[in-house]
Amino acid sequence: MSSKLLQSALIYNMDGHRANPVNLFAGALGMVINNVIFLAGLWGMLFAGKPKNAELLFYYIALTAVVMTSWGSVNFFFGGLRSLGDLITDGMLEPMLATPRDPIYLAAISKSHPIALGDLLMGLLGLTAVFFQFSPVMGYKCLFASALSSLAFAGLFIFAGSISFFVSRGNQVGHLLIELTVSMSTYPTGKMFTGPERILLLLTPAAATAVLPVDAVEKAGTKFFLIALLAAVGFFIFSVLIFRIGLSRYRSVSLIGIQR
Amino acid sequence: MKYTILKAGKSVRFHLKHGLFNFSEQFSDLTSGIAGFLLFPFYIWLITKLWEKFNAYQGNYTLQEILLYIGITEILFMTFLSPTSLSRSSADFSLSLARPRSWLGMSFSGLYGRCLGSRITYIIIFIIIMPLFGIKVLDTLNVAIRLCYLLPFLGIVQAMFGLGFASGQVLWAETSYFVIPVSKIFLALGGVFGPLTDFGESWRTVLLKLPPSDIFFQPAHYCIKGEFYHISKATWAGRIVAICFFLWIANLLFYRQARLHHQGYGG
Repeated sequence: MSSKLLQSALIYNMDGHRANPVNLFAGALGMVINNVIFLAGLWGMLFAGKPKNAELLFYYIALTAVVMTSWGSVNFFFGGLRSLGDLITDGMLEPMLATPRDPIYLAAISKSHPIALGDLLMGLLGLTAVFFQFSPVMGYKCLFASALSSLAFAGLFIFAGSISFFVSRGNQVGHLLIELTVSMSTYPTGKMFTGPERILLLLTPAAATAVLPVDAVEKAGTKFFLIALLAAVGFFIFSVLIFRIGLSRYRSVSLIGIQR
Repeated sequence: MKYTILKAGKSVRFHLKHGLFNFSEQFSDLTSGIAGFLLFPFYIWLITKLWEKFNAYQGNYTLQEILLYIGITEILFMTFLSPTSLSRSSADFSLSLARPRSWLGMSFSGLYGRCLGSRITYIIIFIIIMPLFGIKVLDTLNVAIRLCYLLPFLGIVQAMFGLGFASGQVLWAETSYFVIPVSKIFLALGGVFGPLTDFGESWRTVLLKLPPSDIFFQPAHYCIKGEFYHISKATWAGRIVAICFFLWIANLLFYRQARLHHQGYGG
């Protein structure tokens, strides 16, 4: 039943995008250009004419492919998750509580961001590059890491959105947390920090969204994939738990309005 | 003749007041911008770490200089092409058609005032946080004062860019998707990630010749070292004037088209 609902939601969301192809095209193209420029800038700074940094190249390509694929797929197919905090603050979660379905699931499929299609396309291009330029095994590892990263990003959005249950203007705090995690995930932080700084990095959501999945791609052995799997699943379950606790103390938006 | 001069004088006074109003507005609701203010030191720290790990070996800058450099470029970038500011500029276009004042003039003074106000807010935060990164207070103040010299000129460029997007918004109804890529051009190719002098060849030579370098890298380098990189003050000023001239022509073209093809919501 849930998969049928997901299928319907995807069809409706795509119908919405198809009704405004200029919007979809401009959004996706804008994001592709944005990503290309960003990567070009980092290439110029880190790799162009710098053989000393060559050992970082594979890590950086894998990181970019994994993060863009996961970010793009979660935002395109389950775009409502990123707006969970706004939905709670604006009282839009209430209609979703009146159905027997899971409110997180309903919130997730309620929206699709056309702009994320650009990220997804770039990510898939990156995965293809890893598959053909390095090795098919690395390509499959990146694909699996993207799945773990997607789960972790979904967990991040749920956790960030749930802050709205506990704090006033929590949606702003949630957006800040997402922004910080995305920045920590798109720069090669896994290679930038050592010692106590790395331990601190592993305590942030960026560990589950980027650092551990890409470490698992780079390093040999299933141990690293198990650690990344544990981090992504653990973070997702933790976030859902926080959402449930927040939901149990949720008050109608009309009451929040009166208190304002 | 006397009437025209009087009218022009009144108009200038109006736009100065309008700019000042938009400038002061940036200090009236600082709490709502708290997220942006928290991101500011975070980006300084993160990008400095990136530089320290992969570019410090080149020896063009010390760690303290890089912290200050990234601080300056982040001030310039975080206040560059703000979507809220652009929306405000294009929002009252229909009304402006019935006003005796120039929409271009009003939008320009508004954008200029908001840009200057927000940059001064960030400079205040910069002065507070830099000593926490281990930079001497005197060095921080020195750099901040140098940046203040340049702000009036950089504000013109910023307002011109903003005006282009505001006119574009009126003309095409939706330009927000292109604000991010355009601002990314300046982020990635203007030296916000790190000084262009640390970029590898042939990127360095090419990027130093492009306008993003004049708007981000050169001002930040001037603030840190007290001089522009391999160009004189006059050359830098000339390049800024040339950029402004080009943007002014583009703005006039966009504005004319926007007036011709504009449809209000009832259109």
